[in-house]
Amino acid sequence: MAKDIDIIALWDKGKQLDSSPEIDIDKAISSKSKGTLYWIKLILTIEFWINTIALPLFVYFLIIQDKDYIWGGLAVFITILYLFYYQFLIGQIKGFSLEEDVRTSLKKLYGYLKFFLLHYKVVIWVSLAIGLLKGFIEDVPQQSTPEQMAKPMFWIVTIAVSIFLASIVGAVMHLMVHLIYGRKIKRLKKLVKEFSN
Amino acid sequence: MGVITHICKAYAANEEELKDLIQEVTIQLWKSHQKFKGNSKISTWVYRVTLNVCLAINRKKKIDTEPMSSVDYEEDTDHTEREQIEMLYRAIRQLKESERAIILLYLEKKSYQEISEILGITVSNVGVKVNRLKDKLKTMING
Repeated sequence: MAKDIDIIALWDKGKQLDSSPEIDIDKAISSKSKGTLYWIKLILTIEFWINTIALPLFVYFLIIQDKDYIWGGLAVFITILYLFYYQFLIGQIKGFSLEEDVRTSLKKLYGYLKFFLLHYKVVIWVSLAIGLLKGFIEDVPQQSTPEQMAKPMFWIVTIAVSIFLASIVGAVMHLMVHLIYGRKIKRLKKLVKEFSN
Repeated sequence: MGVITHICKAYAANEEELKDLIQEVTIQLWKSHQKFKGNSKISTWVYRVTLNVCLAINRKKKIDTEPMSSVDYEEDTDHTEREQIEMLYRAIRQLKESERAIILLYLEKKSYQEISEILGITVSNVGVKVNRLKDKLKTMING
């Protein structure tokens, strides 16, 4: 049994003796937020505008100029999907309130971060899959002889090596994204679990 | 400001981070004060925003268990008391982040009901955790 110490009285005494520097409220209020959500919103807004600029470029260069309806159409479709995604998540973050109870706020924040991370994962793996597919359909036939392509072994080796290399690239990019956001997400998950128990 | 500073202190790794946390809390309070509908006590709202910011902000540095050196002891402050205050601060900083939130609210003399409203956990859960944490803190202070 721990010796009886009045920890509330100790805390109060510590507060009385505290000499923490005073914060300039005017200066603080006029400063920019440095919170996680501020940075996510900023990144999403930048990505939103990059996609907004990319959309007419895809339409002009891929569809109108190159008449590449399949790949151009796919690029336009994915870009439009992402524009909706960015708008949705930016809207959610703008509406986020820190006034809710701590468990609810952390749960929401965890959800936003997970959803934010998801778009990187989708971009990585979808881009690699499209790149591979395009390579097999267009680039391999252009750069190989009909004799080579007639051999099943040629296709087996080409597909295996390409998938292997793409998987390594994907895994490295995946790891990089996790190194940036993974720790934060893990911490939030742990906190939500602790408050839920 | 005092309450905010004391809570932020338990979560900041150093003086610089403490200033950042207080600044962030001030910004969030300022931004959300117009939306405050009065559904809860003002103090509940302030504690919610403060703890949400402290727990949600992306810290890069690991917290040092040593308390920050911003306590000015008067000449006549009892040596044992001085040690105990420092031990209390150190013990709080050694707790898990969620445990710190609970014990800080208890030390701020919040009722179990109010702690439950601030943190979003049940009153009975608050009671169990507070009792466990009180004993844990006392054991840590006594060595």
